[in-house]
Amino acid sequence: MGHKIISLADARPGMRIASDVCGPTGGDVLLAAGAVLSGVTLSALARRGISRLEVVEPLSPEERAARIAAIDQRLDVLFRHAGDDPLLRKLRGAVREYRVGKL
Amino acid sequence: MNNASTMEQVLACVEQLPPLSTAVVEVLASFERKDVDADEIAGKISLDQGMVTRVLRVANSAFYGFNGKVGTIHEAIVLLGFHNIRSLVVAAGLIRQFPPREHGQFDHNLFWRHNIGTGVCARVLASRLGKDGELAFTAGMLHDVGQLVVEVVCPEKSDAVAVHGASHDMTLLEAERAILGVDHAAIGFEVTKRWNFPAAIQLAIRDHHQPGQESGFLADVVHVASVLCHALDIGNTVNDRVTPLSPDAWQRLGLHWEMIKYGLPEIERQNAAASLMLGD
Repeated sequence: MGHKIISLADARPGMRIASDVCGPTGGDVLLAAGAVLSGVTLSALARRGISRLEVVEPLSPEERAARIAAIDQRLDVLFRHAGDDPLLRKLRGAVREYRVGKL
Repeated sequence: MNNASTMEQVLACVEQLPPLSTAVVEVLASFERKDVDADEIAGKISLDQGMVTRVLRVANSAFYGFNGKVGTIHEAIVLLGFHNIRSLVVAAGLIRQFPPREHGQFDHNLFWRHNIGTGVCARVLASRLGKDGELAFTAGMLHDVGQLVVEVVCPEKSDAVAVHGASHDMTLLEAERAILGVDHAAIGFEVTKRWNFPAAIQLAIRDHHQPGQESGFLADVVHVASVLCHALDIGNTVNDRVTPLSPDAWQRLGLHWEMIKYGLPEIERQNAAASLMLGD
């Protein structure tokens, strides 16, 4: 997944932060990597004097499909002896949903 | 080789191991005591700088929110609480006690990643169930200690187990029973009994693959946590797979899928922090 550094003016709600955003003098983490920007967090960052941040570039449909295929392939290996055990089937579904949700 | 002789051989070698550090022994004992003198234990922890470094690395992670401000064990106890620090001390102590050997089949880094990951899963699940998360974290982090003991006291057998498991696509448990005649859960139980670990942790170590009615909450939660950790691909070896999940343990715990769903991001966050314990 690509990352790019953008100015705060170009940041929009819904974008995902790629690396921790620290205060202008370093120190405290204002927003942790992985957080999704909202109108409230954008105003808060502006108040704290943040001018640039690194965001995750959204995946193209092809990239997304390839990622999902890779997730399924790994789960096939990990659950190769699970058979049709109902609990493990549910567990696999929960992990898959979590992984795909993070794309 | 039959079961008894392997177990006896392992236990005889355990007697030769240098004793666990005083700090680890006292911290473990403190789980079963109410009148704990945290200051005194902190003094003993402070004597082992290598252990202190690992504990402070985690204490200063973004997860706890004190970024870089925790400078000493005493400060860590004040800011995070003795309860939160002691599980880190036990893990850091054992990581120091059993350093990796060169050219072996056993991967120390993956071993600790799986055990720390299981500890984190156990802590998140236990907390969501309204139980003692730190005790669950400690039990999870120590659940496979039997593997580490075999690796240290009979490295050639540890290598043979790894090779046998990989070439037959067996679980570790199956490979151990085939090669050693005994598995890491049984060895871990015997060893931690000698080390005077809290009784509930001993049972969690013994029964984490197949907890029964009498095994107790910790065994159930560590069992589910270990399966979850494999499913999340934390600390897996190439050969690892998701192991069976006991429906009885699941039911006794009163878990439901929403808890797992909402627990997963939390597990990932906490695991990133706890893993800072590893590395030089």
